[in-house]
Amino acid sequence: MLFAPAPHIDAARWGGSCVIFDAESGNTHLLDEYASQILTILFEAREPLSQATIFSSLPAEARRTWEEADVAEVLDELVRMGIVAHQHA
Amino acid sequence: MIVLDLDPYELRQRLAGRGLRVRVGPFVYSIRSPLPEIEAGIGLHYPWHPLKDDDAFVDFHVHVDRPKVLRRWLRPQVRFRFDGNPPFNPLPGNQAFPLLEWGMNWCVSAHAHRWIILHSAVLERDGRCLLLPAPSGAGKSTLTAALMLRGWRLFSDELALIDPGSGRLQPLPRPVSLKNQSIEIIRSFDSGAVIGQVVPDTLKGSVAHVRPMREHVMRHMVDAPPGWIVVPEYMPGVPARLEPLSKAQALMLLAKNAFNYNIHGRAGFRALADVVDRSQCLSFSYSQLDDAVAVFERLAQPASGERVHGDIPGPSTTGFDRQQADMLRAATS
Repeated sequence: MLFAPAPHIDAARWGGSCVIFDAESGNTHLLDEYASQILTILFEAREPLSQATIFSSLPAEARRTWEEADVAEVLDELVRMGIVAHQHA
Repeated sequence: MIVLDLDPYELRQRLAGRGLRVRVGPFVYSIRSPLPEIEAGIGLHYPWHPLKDDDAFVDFHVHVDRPKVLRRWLRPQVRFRFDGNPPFNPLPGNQAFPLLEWGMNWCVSAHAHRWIILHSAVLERDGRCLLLPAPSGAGKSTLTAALMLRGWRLFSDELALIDPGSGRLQPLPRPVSLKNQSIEIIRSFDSGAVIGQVVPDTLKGSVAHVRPMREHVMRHMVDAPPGWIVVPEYMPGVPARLEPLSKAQALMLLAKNAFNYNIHGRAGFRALADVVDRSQCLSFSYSQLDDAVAVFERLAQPASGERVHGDIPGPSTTGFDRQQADMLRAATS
């Protein structure tokens, strides 16, 4: 499975924080630290990434405390919210 | 020609007749009213606002008068009409001028979607705008009036108009609305402040208006970029203090205080994000107006090159955030 920001999502990022705008719903969300980091990786990648690649792209400090299952959980939530789209590899 | 150029008879005739066509920033209002309170309020608070000819395009046709039925005489009321229709309920008869001011704000916030409109005071200093987004009761208007009286150019005490293309802010200099204790606080702060009649028992308590400075009205078409976003909060007994505000929180706050953010969609989001990106973002608590003005005076000074160390709380130290901490320390020392 590969993941990328949904096309109707725009984001503003500063430091570790990410505010996203959902053009479909008109809603604006301030993401928590974990979701912000993952979405930042996806925006900077400019191509869909696998869960494993996302995990390995996390800052070293985050990789010390996260497991890949944590990334999976956050990705599930971001997909549920419509912020991240997924496709089969 | 400006309002002051009209003698009282001419002012009254225009208000009672085809309408007084007055420019306020980018908008032309046609104001009609037979009420002496409106005539007095406009004469006092809008003397330097430019007049437009009878054939000039008008953005907002507004009319303040008394209803023509029973409430004209029994516990009289006043009503505001826009293009002939009343968008709100009438108010008690002594609230004519505050009603006009609230109505004029509503005209912009409900219709002027060429701009992104925020519920925020705006002032300018040395070519940069200070935005003060805050709910009612936070001390925003009191602080705005004080800063205006101490050299900051008033853009608006209520509405920030942001050009979505350039991110620049548009002035809309009109009287600053004060409530309750703030009226006497500003009267004591500056004896030269021109404050109109105090109108008691409004929904917001006692209300009075401070006339905008002549030189601010004269520059009503000179826009400026954003420079600071400061969230003020009046707290009795506290020293004046600036604290860092994360840009993410600042953007959420601007979005929350936007009247027409969703109309602009993605472009609105990007425009607000750009405003935040270009601004120092801070929260501010204060109790004494003189201290507050002094803090803003230091904030407006160019940043020193000296690095300041210390435990200023704030977001993670990116390069920009560290510079922000330096300026905070300089402003509050």
